[in-house]
Amino acid sequence: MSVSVNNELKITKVICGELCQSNFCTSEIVNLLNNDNGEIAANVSTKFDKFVDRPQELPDKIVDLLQIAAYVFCADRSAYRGARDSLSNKSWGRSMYFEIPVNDISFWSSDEVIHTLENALGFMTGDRQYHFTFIKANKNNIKDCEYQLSLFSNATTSIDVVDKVDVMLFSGGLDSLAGIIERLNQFPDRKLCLVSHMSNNRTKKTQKALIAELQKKYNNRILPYFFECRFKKLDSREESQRTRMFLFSAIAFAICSCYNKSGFFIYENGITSINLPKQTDVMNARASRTTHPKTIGLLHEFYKIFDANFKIATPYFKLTKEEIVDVFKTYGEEVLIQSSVSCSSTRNYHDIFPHCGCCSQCIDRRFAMYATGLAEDFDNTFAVKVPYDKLNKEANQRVSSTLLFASNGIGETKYDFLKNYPTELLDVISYWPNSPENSLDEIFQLYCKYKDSIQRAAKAMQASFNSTSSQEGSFFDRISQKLDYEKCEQDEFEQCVESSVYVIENKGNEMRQGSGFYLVDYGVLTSQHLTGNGDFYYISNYNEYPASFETISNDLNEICEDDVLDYALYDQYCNCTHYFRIGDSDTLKIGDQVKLIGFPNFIKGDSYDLRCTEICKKTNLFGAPLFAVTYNVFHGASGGIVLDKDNRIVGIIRAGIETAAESDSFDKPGFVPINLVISDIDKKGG
Amino acid sequence: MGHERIGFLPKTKQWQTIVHELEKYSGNSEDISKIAENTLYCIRSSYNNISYDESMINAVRFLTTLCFSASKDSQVEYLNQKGFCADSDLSLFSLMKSAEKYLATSSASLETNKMAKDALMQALVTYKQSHESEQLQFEGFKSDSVWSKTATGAAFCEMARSFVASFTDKQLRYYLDRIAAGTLCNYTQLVSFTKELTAQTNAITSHTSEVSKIMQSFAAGWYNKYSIRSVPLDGDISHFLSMTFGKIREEFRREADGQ
Repeated sequence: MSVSVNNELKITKVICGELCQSNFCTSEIVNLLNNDNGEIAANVSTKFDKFVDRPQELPDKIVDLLQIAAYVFCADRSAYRGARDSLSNKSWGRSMYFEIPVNDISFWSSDEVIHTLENALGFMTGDRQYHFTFIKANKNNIKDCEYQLSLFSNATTSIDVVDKVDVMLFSGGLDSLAGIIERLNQFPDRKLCLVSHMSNNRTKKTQKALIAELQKKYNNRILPYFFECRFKKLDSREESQRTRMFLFSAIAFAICSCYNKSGFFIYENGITSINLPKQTDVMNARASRTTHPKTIGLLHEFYKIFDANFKIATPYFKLTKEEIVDVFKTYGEEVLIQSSVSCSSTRNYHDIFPHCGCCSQCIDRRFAMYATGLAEDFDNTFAVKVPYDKLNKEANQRVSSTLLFASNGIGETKYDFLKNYPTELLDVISYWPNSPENSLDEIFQLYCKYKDSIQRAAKAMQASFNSTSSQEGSFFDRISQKLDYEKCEQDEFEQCVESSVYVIENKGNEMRQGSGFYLVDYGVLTSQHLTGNGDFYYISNYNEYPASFETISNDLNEICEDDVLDYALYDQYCNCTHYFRIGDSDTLKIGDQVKLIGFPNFIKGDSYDLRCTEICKKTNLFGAPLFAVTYNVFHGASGGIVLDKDNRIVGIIRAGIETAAESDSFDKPGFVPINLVISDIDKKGG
Repeated sequence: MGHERIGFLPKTKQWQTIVHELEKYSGNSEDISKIAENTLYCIRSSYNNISYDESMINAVRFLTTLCFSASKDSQVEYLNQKGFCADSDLSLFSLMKSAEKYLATSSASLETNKMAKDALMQALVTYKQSHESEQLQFEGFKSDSVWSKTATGAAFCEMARSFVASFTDKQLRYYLDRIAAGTLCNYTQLVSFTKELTAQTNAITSHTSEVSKIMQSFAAGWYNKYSIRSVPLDGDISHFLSMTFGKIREEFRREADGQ
């Protein structure tokens, strides 16, 4: 009885070049021509021919590639993906059917080529489907044209020089600029060919100014190539431009193949490349996948069909944006930072302050700059009042989502992380250059670095912003709220430890010391192996030690004990005002993070010993179930408290070792689940 | 690079009511239930159709196939015959890849497909975590693979519950995330709302006896019949999903009414 709930799929047919019968575009049919075809005027303008020195020698399939990339990019901008307040985002995933004339039909009609291209575009755009039909062209539009300037056609560019040139993509943002600086410094005898897409006049201005600056500083070692691909007398209907990387990479690939280069570079930090969505509706490439490892991997597979040895290098894929900013520090080029532009907002463009401060790129840049401590001196490029003015709803949404993502979204362990982003991580892991297990580790570590970076930035912002100038709902206000929230949580935690987790020791000749804690509604809980010998034991708050406030002993006030589960419960209520609540140890799983708190080898003035560790094994010790943990637990921690990620009590510390050297001989540090202990207490009438 | 297109909710009266409820959110579970119930009401038509969505049916069929495969002599071979791409170790990684492949769609809603895949993979990781007695491994050999012990109604119920809870959570967040971070008046409330919404969905699917009964009766019915046909028919799966999601909505309504 399977019922299809999907309406009929809407297909956008894209007819290109000499196949066009008109140059009109509708939502169903898009006609694209980059050259006049008889009486039909071109509606797409490309300047690919600029870099072709000897066009007759350019392989047909490369000419075709450039035209296909241009048509795909223009079709992408012609087919609407729905409104931003669309409830179901039904129109986002388009089905695009292309009919494109090509010169090298035997190459383009191969199943492998078509399949690989369709796959790459499908992933990078999040569209439902790309379908290509290639038809043998009657004309060769690029080769038959008159040629203008060539990238390598000036007198200084010989083939020797070309050998010493590396090709890289250049957007005008921080990451690619850092890449340029790093390469020019690391390889002083090499030049860089920068491939840039001039998407609008602002970007063009930024890129040109930066290149002029770099030429001055680095002795004209930059060979810029700006390409244009735009509509002629045709309005764009969709500005998400998710196919941009195909066009960008096609140009870079064509440059490489013209001059026998076996690869090009893309410098982009790993966090931006992976671009995990910060809210649930941002799916299917609504968080762009421009330099996503899978996009790069799929494009690589496509370009390998042209050249089996071809490589696309992404040297910054394991770095955060903060680490990218550090590159400027390393090479003493901080001053160049404010010439780069990350902002994607066209509406809020301001001549003096090119960053709106509200779009996701601006927010990321601001955090990275503050985290490195360079924001105040080297990046005064944000719209002036943004930290203090009330943010509009969208900006507020972005800032708050970023803060939430960097604290709760990533999760405490790699398996939390995997559960939060399973499909996204599967996509990344499949194209990460390591085994799946190690890839998951590395990606999680990358996001932990990001989390730390956001925290550093938030603290730096709080230290430098003036709280009296801030309005409710401003950027500064949101940052402060996050830090205040965390401080409250931390204060509450500290108070609970101070008040309800105890140092327990006898003061006889043979001093025994351990830990215990207050179990609400029951009393003081500690290890049976610690207090079971009948001595009097003194309970101290760690910050008042050695002063004690209560005494316990088997005869005096023990309620019950169990030597298998290794607990002893004493009738002491300790008047504690702050204590941890009881959690549910039945829900604990392998890989969950827990906090173990106790007082091993405690002396006056020590703090408590906190181990944030993971459950690595469910086992038995002396007949009792035990959750083994990854880190060592030392003697004296026995009887201590075990908390889950929400700071609820889930166990009592059991096994431990005397010193780190002992760890080989005894490998079961862990805790007894609290549910077992409570159930035993209840049975015994405690 | 690194662009994000975030969505908005329509400015209709019914969605604006939810925005106002979020603005007034005070952190209690009744508020959450009310917001969840109103969200499910706003999307009632598509919510009712979820049970017939190809991706949802495939997700449940994936789970039944996985459970059923444990009774076969060669589990991996059987699974791969049924469209999985499992490796010989039945690693978590290969099962997640299988889920992705199994749920690939050319015509169903891409948005529901993504949420169904996420929920299914989340259910696999959670089940593996709950039943693994040693350090969890994403790949690699395990002679006593947890997947070889899933030929029981209980195993199916556990994974199906986890799948349904996770999908419901994602379904609610798909709409509410568009406004929550920008609407809730402070960060503490945002954290509270995020945690509570998941907790509430989990509680409803875990502790509501009606929801559990539906799962158990589906599993029992299926196990009684499995000697005749290996996995349930799509119609049975739709019926199961329809009953389950209907009951979940009813529970949110009851909670919202404070019953």
